[in-house]
Amino acid sequence: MQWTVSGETTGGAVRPGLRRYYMGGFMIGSAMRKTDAASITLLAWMLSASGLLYLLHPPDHKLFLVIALVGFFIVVYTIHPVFSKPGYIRNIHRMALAGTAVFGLVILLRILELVEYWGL
Amino acid sequence: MAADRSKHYRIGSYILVGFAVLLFVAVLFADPRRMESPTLMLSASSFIAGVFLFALGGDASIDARLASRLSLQGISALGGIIRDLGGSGAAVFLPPNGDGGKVMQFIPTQPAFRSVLGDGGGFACHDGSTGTLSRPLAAPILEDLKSSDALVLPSEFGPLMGAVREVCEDLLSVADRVTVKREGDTVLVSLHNYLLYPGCASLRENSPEFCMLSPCSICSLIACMIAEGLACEVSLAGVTLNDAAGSRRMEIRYALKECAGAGEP
Repeated sequence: MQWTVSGETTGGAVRPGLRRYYMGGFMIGSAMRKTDAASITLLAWMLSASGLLYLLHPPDHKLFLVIALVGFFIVVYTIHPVFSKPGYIRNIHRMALAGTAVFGLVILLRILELVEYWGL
Repeated sequence: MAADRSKHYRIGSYILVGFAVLLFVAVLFADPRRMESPTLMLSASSFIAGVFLFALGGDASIDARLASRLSLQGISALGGIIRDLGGSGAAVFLPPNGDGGKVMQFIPTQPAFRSVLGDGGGFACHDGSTGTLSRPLAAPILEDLKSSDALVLPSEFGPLMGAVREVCEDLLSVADRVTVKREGDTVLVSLHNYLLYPGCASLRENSPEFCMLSPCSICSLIACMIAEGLACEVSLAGVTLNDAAGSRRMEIRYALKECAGAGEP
């Protein structure tokens, strides 16, 4: 049986670790939650994709939507719990359903464009 | 804090969606024919990220300090009663007895109390010692998680520890990160940035022995999960609180006894 407490405080104020950065309660560092990391990753992915599309290719919103949704699906797959279904994952499922519909619509439009282009 | 996190997600989502609408309106007013502008892609990025944040911050949460206090309600009184009844040592979480069985908590009592109680009415015998047998404090939470959040408890150690992580990080959001180590018959569970840390620390100050006699909230819940998943007896071997650099880390050590075999390392 053991119960110990250890702490490192200076005059009542806790010294934050060097590897952590606090922004109004939002933390970036070794103990970042996976939902925080997921939202940051998704936004960074979409911003990078839009920037690269702007630089390398005439901006195409259908292509951008497909790339953004691919990133979204990868992020959802990564954070998806295995042994349970938390409340937030049900919302994510609904969002994924809408994303799948948009993804399918974009693919369908692109196929129609190809059909029209080849004169089939 | 879970409540703050949920609130931040919602505020962030409103800001991002509002930003997306502003950008879209700007594109429309600037040149409606130039719908292929990069500003529109930025608007779409903000909108998708905003909806994503909105989905993540779904559940209403309770204030962390209040939750910490509520989780300790009655622990001192219960611990005092058990101690007065001769409770000694650490509570043992017994695995379910067959299909449909429930995890039970056995608290051994001192031998001197057997004579006082006569035939041992109201008490149970386990491994040659007498003690109280009752449902663990976390049993209703575990049942609720199974019914409302479709929690499944694997029978192998690795996946079961994954389930423990999910419960603490995703379902209950009581810790930012959970790490699990196994050394022989001891399982070490570390909760980083533990939400209920203040209540746990205050209970330790008042009566540390009560934690062993009748583990509360998370300690009891994890013990129940291990006992049911691995089908072995589990007892709390020690708890360490560490607030170095504001980490608010709690380490719980569980001792496993008489494992059924599926959970052997």
